[in-house]
Amino acid sequence: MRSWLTSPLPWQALAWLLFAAAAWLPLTPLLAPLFDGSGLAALADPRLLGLLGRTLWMSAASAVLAIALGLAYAVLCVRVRTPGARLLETLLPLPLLLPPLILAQAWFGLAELRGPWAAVFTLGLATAPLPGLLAARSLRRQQASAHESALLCGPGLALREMLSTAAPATLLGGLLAFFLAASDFAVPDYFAVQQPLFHVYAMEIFGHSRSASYADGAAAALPLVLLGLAGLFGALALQRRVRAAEVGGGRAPQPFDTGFAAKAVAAAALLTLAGLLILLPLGRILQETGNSGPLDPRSWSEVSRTAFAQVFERARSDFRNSLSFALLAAALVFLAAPFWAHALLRLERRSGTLARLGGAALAAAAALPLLVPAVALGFGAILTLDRPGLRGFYDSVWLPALLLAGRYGPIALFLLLERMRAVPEAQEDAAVLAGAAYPARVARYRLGPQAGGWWLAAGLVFVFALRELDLNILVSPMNHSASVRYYNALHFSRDNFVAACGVVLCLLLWLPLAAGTAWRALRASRGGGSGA
Amino acid sequence: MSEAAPVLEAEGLRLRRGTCMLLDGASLALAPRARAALSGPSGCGKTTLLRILAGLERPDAGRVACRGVSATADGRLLLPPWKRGVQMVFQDLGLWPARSVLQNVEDVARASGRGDARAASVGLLERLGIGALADRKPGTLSGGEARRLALARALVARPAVLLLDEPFASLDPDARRAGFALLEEVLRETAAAVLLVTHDPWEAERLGGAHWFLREGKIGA
Repeated sequence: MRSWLTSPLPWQALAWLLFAAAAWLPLTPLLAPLFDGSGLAALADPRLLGLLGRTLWMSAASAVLAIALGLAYAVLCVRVRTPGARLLETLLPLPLLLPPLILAQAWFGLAELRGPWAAVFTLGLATAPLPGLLAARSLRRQQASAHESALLCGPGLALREMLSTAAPATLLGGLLAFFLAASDFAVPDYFAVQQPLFHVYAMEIFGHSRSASYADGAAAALPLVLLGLAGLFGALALQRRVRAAEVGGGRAPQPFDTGFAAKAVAAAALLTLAGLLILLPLGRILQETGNSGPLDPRSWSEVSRTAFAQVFERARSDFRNSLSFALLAAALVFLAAPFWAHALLRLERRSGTLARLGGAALAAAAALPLLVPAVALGFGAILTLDRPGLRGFYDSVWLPALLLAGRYGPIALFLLLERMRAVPEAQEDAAVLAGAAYPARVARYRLGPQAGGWWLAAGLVFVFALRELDLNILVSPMNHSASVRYYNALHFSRDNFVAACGVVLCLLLWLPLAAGTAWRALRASRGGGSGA
Repeated sequence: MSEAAPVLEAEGLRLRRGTCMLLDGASLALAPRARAALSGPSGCGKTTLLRILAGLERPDAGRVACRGVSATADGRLLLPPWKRGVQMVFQDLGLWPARSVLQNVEDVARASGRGDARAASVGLLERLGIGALADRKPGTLSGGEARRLALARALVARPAVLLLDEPFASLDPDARRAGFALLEEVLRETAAAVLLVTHDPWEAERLGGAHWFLREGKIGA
């Protein structure tokens, strides 16, 4: 066996070169203002400081709402025998997978929500799946006997023990929800346009694009970048607590054995949550596709059909572009993420302070592209890559694919890292002794038993790349995409076309999830385990 | 079996898992302060039987009574687990990872209504030789220490029935002997009836009392 095949070095180098080009290169202009002091000017300007303060409280309020909704949803799905819980649990990821702007449009239509609290509400709904999904996972991994020994002492103790198991994961999800809300530009912008006018910090950063002062925009982003860095350490600390709390993994705890009345109340509560998070907004958007004026003689279905026909006629190329960007980004991540994750795992398993510190630093650097505001990453990409020598690349489909892979690659990295941790070390050791090539060791023996996670990671990158809006608005080769088409249509006219565009986008985002769920069900029915 | 009114009684328990009849008319009775050991091949349903007695699982048929009160009948739970006066040391212990050693015990003492929760917990930890570890988290304990903590947590509730599911499994022989000697000492001071699941004939003999076997879903001597 040739040494370059068995050695991790060339494969790791290639994978991390891709990460550096996709994620760290566009980040460099964002960190530069830290050293020349220009980025800290925001902290001396009372107006910008006020904007930052408003962004922080709005994000905190969104995160609190996301935690409350997500945790309640998770508990009702996982630990109460609620009728229909399995079906409704599959809906939980949807609000996160949809562009938040669709939720904003729907809730404006449903309840005429306005102002900063409308943005808080929408972003809270959009990010609720983060604490919800993480809490659900923790609740399933609670040691069954730990739950049962509490249950022998009373329901109060069992409930407290259950919540304390889920708390670190829920808080981690809340922290991520906070960062997503703090860096979101499109939702506050949408509600500001509806009046009353208000500003948040991401809008201030975005404002620099209008005067093409990208360097100033990158400098203005520094406070949010620093916030992301600070939050990163909190996230890593919480992740350690999550691992400590999830000591189960064998038999899952039984759901609480409640009576008929309690089940009925739980089912009603779960349906209400599902309605708030996804059913009502989707229903509203669908209904808007066929809305017409009082003098329009056409029926709802006629108007709706016309709207969808317009979408396929006018926005077909935009949807095609979006799919190309997302598929390429997912493919890049699919190939590289196992090597990224394996590098972190090797550092984790090494003894010695230096290796542990190196691993923590690499994990922090790898998470950063996800935590900085997308508009700031867009400025960074323009400043580093929009150069005469790179014109061919900049205008090609590869720039969006690379940027989206850099932005969302960390999701795949951390998901695969967690899946790899679950595979016994001896499986890879046996492959090393057998002289297996390094890619085979990673893919077949380390990741093979967790192949569902690999597809899930690529699927998540695909979905997040497809829903990306902030980055697409800024970087010119990404302008001709479905989400920008939707954004423009929403801001220039509020008609059936916008709603139909939103429904098509929802379907495109939902299809990978539906395919994944169907695949898991098929595997389970054949006795092949739960897969992803 | 003792002639005093049983604190725990099971009659005609049946449970089918897939095509396997795990319990097929299993019956037993434990008098106050009685000691009994239960053995049987791996996977024969010993742990499931303990879980049914504790109210953590429902049988398909049969009845369980705790202190004379009907607790499970015809596949229905009539008495929830926390009202049966039963405590259990699980095979994988089920310690609460986020709570300290002392909190693991004290929480149970409070939930069982003991006014002297703190003092009783501290005293029991000292008695079991892990008082110095009170502030540690369970994840940092050795196997033997964790088992002693699980025992303290079960005993502090002053249960009428103590179910022990192979409490010293996975320990080396010396640690098993030492652990069992400590268990014997502590059990002498408790009023609880004890049902010990074990594969070790030595443990069953040392415990004293009845030695039952679970075979083909039925309990016999």
